[in-house]
Amino acid sequence: MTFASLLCEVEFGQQPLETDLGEREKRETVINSFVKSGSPESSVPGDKTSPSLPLACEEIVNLYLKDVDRSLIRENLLLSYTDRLRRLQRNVQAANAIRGAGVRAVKSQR
Amino acid sequence: MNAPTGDVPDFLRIIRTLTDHGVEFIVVGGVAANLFGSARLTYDLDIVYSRKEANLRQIAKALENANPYLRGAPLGLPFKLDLRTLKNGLNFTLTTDLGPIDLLGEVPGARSYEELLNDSIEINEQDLTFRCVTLPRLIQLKNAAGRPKDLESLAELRAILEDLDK
Repeated sequence: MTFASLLCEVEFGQQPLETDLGEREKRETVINSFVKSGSPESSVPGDKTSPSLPLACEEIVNLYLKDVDRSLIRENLLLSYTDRLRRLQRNVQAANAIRGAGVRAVKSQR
Repeated sequence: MNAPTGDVPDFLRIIRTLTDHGVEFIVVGGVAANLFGSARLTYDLDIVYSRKEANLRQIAKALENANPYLRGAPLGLPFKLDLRTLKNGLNFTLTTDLGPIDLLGEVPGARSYEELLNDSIEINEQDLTFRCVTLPRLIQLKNAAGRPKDLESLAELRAILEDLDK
């Protein structure tokens, strides 16, 4: 992946690329900071909105991306927004119950 | 409906409590991800709130009956979530009777509620209206946070975005 494509990806169409010189300069500054340091930090003073990830992190995200279970996502997307939150709540409740059972089991073995 | 205990977050009730009091806020974080279809568990509600004084008053009012307390702090501290406390702080991680909530005055990748407002959408469903950060901006916020624990979640959010773009 090139630095430019990396930056295109993280902008996700928020703003068209190369819309003005300021944007281009900002991107180039970020690219240069990557090249020099490999750091995720933006070198634009006062810029707290740097959307970039270190290259190593990008690679990890891309590795995860291959294994994302899209069927679960599609199932969720069939629900309304409020039902998605209700499902999340039920899942948290279930996770807590499982965790509680695990803790009790460990304690009972002592 | 069972009385809330705080053990299990009641996301809808927290959101409704805030909207009923006219609190200006934007849902971010894991709950926002779930609103976009994420299947990952999250245990707290993260919101970015407006730092306007009137809004701080409303937050204090909205949560006063939910026993807000600093998450992870020793019990018995003289903590009161009032206007003064909210003015003197910025980001608060709280437990409440309705579940854990993070009140964020700022998040990495966005300076304020006002800055994030243009990158939020209004969700209006079942008499509940509130704002949630857009998916692309949510991804940017997670990128900006730069936390290793977010990398898997980032992959999922990008997968959702890919699917939506198809």
